[in-house]
Amino acid sequence: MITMESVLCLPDTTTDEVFFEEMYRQAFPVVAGFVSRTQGTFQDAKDIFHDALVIYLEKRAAGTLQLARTPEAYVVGIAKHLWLRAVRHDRHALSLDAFEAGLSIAEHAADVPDGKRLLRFLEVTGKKCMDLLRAWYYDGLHGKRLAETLGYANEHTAAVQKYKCLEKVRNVVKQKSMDYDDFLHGHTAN
Amino acid sequence: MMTSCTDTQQIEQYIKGQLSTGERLLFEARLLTSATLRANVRAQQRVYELLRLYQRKQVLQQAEAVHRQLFTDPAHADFQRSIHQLFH
Repeated sequence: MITMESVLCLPDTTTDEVFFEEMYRQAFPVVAGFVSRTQGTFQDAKDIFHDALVIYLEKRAAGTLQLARTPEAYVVGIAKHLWLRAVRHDRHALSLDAFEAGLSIAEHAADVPDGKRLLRFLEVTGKKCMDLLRAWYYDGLHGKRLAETLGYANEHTAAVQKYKCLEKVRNVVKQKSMDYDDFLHGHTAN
Repeated sequence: MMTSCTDTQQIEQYIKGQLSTGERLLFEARLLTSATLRANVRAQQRVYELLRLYQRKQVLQQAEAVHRQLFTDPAHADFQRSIHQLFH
């Protein structure tokens, strides 16, 4: 499993191992069923299922889920949608980024320029802040629960810490993009 | 430091469309006059995009770990069989 050095890795976060295992037990057999019936492979079923989980959790964080459906039914629905699109188009070009736009999941493409490199840097230098912010925005850990989870005295301290982290990461982003501009500038000058 | 902390909060509310009309107009007026604030808004927008990448990466890692466990651990043999027979 993912190792998180901080106290964030608590069983009450709703994207823990239990969540994924429950999804695998309830939803994956259905997904594997319709993928296999349309000549898809086991690997196809796995890829589409994982993408559906990502999208489901993003929708949940954005508060755009329709409450009438169970989480399992939701994930199956998203997976079916992704799979039908993949079958209709080129199956081999299957990727989350290519299909999410059609699902109107993203407000804008998550194509952060140089994002992967920057993310790796932040995972090394600012992991605690990244974990706190991720828990805040995606696991919905706010106020009292965040304070309890992170061991802060009260909600106010936790919220202050959140903005401190946001500012810290923002400063890294600023610094790094300046470095990058210098680098580009250096090259064009030559 | 105090100013910058409330700025971070206000930038968040601006980006997420949570400011009232009056607050937004005031904020946009400040944007026109402050290059620093403009740079901070741009950088903070990137932070949210990076967090999205981070979340995505973590979900895929967690899903992969559970997948590996479910499809290699003999304790889940029945489950493995029920899935694999679909692909024959």
